[in-house]
Amino acid sequence: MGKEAPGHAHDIGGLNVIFAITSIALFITTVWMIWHDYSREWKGYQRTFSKLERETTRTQFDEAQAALDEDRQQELEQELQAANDALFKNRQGIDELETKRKEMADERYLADVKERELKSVYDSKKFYYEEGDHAPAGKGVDQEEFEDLEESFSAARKKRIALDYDLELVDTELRETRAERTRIEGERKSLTERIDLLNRKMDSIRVSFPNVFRNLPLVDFIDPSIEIKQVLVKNVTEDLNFIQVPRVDRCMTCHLGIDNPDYADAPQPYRTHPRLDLYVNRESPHSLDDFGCTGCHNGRGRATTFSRVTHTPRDDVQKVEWEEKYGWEAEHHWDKPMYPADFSESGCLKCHSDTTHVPKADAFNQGRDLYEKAGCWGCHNTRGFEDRRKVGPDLAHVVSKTTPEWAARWVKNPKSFKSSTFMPRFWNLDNNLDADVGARNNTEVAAIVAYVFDKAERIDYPRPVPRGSADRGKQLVESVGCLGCHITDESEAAAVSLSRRHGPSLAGLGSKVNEKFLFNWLKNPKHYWPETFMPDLRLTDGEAGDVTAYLLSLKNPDFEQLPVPAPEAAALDEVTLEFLRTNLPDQVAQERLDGMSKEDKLIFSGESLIRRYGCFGCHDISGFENAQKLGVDLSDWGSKMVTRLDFGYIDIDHTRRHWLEQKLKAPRSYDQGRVKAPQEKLRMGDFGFSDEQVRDIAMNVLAQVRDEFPLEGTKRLDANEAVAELGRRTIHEYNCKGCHLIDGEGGAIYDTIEDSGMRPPNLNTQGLKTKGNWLFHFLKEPSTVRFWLNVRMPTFGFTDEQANTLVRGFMAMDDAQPYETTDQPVDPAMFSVGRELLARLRCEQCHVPSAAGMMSASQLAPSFRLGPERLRPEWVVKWLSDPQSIAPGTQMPQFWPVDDEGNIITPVPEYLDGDAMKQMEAVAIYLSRYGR
Amino acid sequence: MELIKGFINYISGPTVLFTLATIGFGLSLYYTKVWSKKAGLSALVVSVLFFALSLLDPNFWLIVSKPDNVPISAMLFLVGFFTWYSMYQGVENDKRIAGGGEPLEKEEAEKVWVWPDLVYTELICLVVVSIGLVVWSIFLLAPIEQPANPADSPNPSKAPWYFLGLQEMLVYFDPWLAGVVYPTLIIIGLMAIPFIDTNPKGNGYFTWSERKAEIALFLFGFLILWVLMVVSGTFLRGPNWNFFGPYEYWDLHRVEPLLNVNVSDFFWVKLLSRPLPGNPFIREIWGVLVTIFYIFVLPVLLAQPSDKLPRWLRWISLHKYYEKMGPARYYVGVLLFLLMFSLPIKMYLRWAFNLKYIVAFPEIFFNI
Repeated sequence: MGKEAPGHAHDIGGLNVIFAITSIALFITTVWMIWHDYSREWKGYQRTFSKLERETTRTQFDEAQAALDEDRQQELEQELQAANDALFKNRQGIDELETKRKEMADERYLADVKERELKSVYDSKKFYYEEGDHAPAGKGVDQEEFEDLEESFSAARKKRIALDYDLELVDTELRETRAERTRIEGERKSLTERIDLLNRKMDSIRVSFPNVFRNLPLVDFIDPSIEIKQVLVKNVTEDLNFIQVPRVDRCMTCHLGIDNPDYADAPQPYRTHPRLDLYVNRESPHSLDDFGCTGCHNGRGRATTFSRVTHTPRDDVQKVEWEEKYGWEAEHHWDKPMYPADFSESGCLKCHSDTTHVPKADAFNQGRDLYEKAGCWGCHNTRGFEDRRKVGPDLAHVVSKTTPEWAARWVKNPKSFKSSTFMPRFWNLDNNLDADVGARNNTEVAAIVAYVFDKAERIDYPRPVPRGSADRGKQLVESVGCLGCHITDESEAAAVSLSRRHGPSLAGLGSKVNEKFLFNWLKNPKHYWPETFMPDLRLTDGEAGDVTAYLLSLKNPDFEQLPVPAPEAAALDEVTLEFLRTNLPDQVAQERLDGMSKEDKLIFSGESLIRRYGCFGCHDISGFENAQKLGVDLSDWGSKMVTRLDFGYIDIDHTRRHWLEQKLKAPRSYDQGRVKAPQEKLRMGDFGFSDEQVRDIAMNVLAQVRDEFPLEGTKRLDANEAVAELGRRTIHEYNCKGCHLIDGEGGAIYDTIEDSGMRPPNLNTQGLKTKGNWLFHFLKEPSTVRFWLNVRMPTFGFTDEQANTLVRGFMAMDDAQPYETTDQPVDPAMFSVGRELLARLRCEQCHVPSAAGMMSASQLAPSFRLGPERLRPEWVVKWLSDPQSIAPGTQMPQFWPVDDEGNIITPVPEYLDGDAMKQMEAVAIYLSRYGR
Repeated sequence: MELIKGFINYISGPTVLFTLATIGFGLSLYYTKVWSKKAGLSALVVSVLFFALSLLDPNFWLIVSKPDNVPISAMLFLVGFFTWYSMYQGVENDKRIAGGGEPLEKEEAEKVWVWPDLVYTELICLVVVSIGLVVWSIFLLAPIEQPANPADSPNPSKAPWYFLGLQEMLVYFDPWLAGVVYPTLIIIGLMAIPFIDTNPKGNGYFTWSERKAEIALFLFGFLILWVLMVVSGTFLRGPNWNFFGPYEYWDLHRVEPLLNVNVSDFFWVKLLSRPLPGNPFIREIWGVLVTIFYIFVLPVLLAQPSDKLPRWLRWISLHKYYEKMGPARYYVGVLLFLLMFSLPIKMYLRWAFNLKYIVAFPEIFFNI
């Protein structure tokens, strides 16, 4: 400072100015700071919500008022008036009683005070009396003193109890006098209960001085109503590496209406959870208190700003919208960002990992089936997909089935033959376009085909194939049930369920297989491929011949015109040399190459290429019985660090989902711009998935995480569920749902059969319905139950173990007992009533074989002759009481209908005293002895 | 513009930056005129301008604006200011003393303006700092990340900023040296200063000319070997601890050639074209000899009167200090001094010859 005042180091006036300016600045920053805190994002949401809440409550209040039964209210008012009048007449008596009561109450009060005084002295003296000689000097109490005291305390106590009793008598008398008025008041209160409740609520949230004041800036630290709301979840934990701590989710700080059905149409973030029956609600299987929010949705539960909780946009449109609306930006510091809305079902698997399908997670299940069907797990180890049969056909005898030319065209580009195939394409992709690598692609294809055909063993089919009619064959294919697992036209693929694509599409089959193979395959699939899921439909030779003729007529002329990929000498040498060099010095490799014939080269490089591309992941190929899976283990891919993913030079968002979707859409694209030798290139095949399929599969892979919640938090199957699950797995494996409805799903073939009476049966309650022994034998060797059906229950060739698994599974699904008493003595009276009822209700009009031809298929029903062996009597009763609940749409009449009050009405009151249940039992008993 | 940025990126490389900083440091001590108000002000203007213009570069902004790094940038200006201030005062005092006067501090030795001057200015400081802290806390959120995950170490993994000098040392030395021995020696050395430096001059006042060696040595250790290392560790070391210029993008996938060799390789393989001897002691004999020479022989050599040394080595003689300090202080001081200088020596050996270890006994985890 230049001009110091005398006696000062600085210019005090100047300092005053600085001090003034800085003080004002400090004041401004302090106000700014308070404002900054006051205007936090979530506080704004809560303020808006309280407005919304006021409006909603007001509307509800108005509605409740409108719905009030005013006549009844009026009536009650009058009754109340009358009751009051009656009491008024009797006022003298009541006043007397009241006066008496007052006096007694006063007396009782004094007695009570006295008693408590004495008790405190008594308790203290008792202690010293018990101490005896150990009591401090002067404090000791002798027996006489203690007994006196005890006596007076006990007297005071008795007096108070007597007064209590008298008082209660008076009170009862008063209550009885006023009983009528109390009753009316109670009724009036219950009439307006909801209104009062809403009124109280409105009162507590209305704009009032205390409500406004408590949330004002600076005083809102004392007792604000605007505050962080959170739930602490014990069973869903956060992994802090050395300790699992309960999750704390604060989502409801902004999602204020999440558990309240009143906000179903409110704008976000206030909207109700769309599935309160399954989530959030206290009574639902996933209540908020037990599972929180981030247990399923992922994300940072403790954060309270839009971006920091790691909300993840579903697509670029939403991303842009969020950026504008919420200033959204990607949060890097959270390994488990929230799933985008359409990926929510990814959160299911971490707890529901023991089942083939996750109940109600439709998109997820769709993806899971696709994941299974496309054979992703053939190359990528995946938890839950161990010990499965490979998805592609066994190539051990392929030489008897088709030609190398077909195979080469097919391998080069499978979709050129069948657009719906799950076989991926490995050549002419981003990193090995024909235009870039020249003849190399065709050479590789030829080499692989050469190897496979060289190793395949020919099967001799000595029997001549009977000449068949393609027209009859077509009819057979469309009626016996082939369409439960196969499509015959590629254009159907997109529209039908995966069940109908369980087996390969039959389109173009004539361009692929030879006659002998096909005929013999139809007759006995397991002969060519012991592990096939293709069942035996018990076709006669003639039928098989017809079907063969038809299927061979399905040709793909475009495909037949395609050039056959052929090896080129230079490229073949190059490829062979590359593989030779991997473990031989250059010179030796060259010498080895020079010593090989073209055939040797093809087979050698074919084997190496199969090893490289992993064809054995889906096909059994001789020489690769013990080969290891090639791909990355996907069992916990969903937890993989984003930083460990190579995004190459592809410009997409750096998230797991984006990486995965890009990989699935264009598997080789991450090689773009990279310098790589042929052996280093990416090799995953292109499956040609649609955008929706990509999403569903991505959802599945993202679901496979390493989240370890405590066991209490995850779904564990009980013993019964586990048995049912084993059955469901076999049902899934053999595609029973291609024909049957099971668990309310399936029946894929139904769309191809117009007449509902000709469709394969609904297997709802199957476990309760049929006897285990019958079902077991039926599964092993199906016999005719519904003689009028064209579809046939195939012979799957189940082992005893598989058939048992199915029987037990069906029973477990319906909670049925495995065995039942068979030799229970039958009440002859019941038996004969049953017989008479059957006649009265004319049951055998439909349930009889001779009826065929006279009635439409949907009216026909299985013969009663099967009854004793097949049906369980309990089920018969269940079926008779409500057929529609078991098989919706059935023509079986409900003879014993239920009226509005829940009483069963019998059509034949004259039997068994009109006891409907007994009548049904009688029918069941008769059926269990039918024909015996 | 890109050319200038490229140039700045280039001179920020560890080799060039260290060399330029050392030369600049030496020159500024030689030409003490630079410690004037005018020069200080120009340096401030230039550095603020440099910083402000650089903020326009997205990569520079990205690094500097990290909540962790903001205070470090601010503190750099403080380091500059205090260095300048003390040198400026020192040079001013030197002028007064040379003119027969007394240091400024002596004139005012008995007088402190407490009321209202000191208290008032302190109050103003308090207000200003409060404003700064509040505004800072509003603008920069606490850099809180997620719970640590042992499966996911951040890249680059950096120590707290005040340890980045040590981490930078790890590039050149093994952990037992850079992480244990050197930090211990730094602390011991700092504690030993009052016992080694018995020069009574400069007590209670700033001076340069009366304590040239002490100040130069300390500032070299502090500014060049510590602050500069912290700066380059904070702002210039990116993923995989690769070096990145201030305007370069921190590319995770960048690959730098890394082929370092030991003295034993140099001697046996490159010079004699023969395989390394099986016996580790024979293998490492040269490195061991050099190290023994550096630590045990060199101090004695340096203590010799200059006329006892060969003519071309006379300039290194520290005989003057030996005389002045006596053997005990001299040997402790020189040892610490030599150990301090082993860092720049090793750095230059690395840059010039890709030298990894002078002595390498991987068998017993003993590498120098």
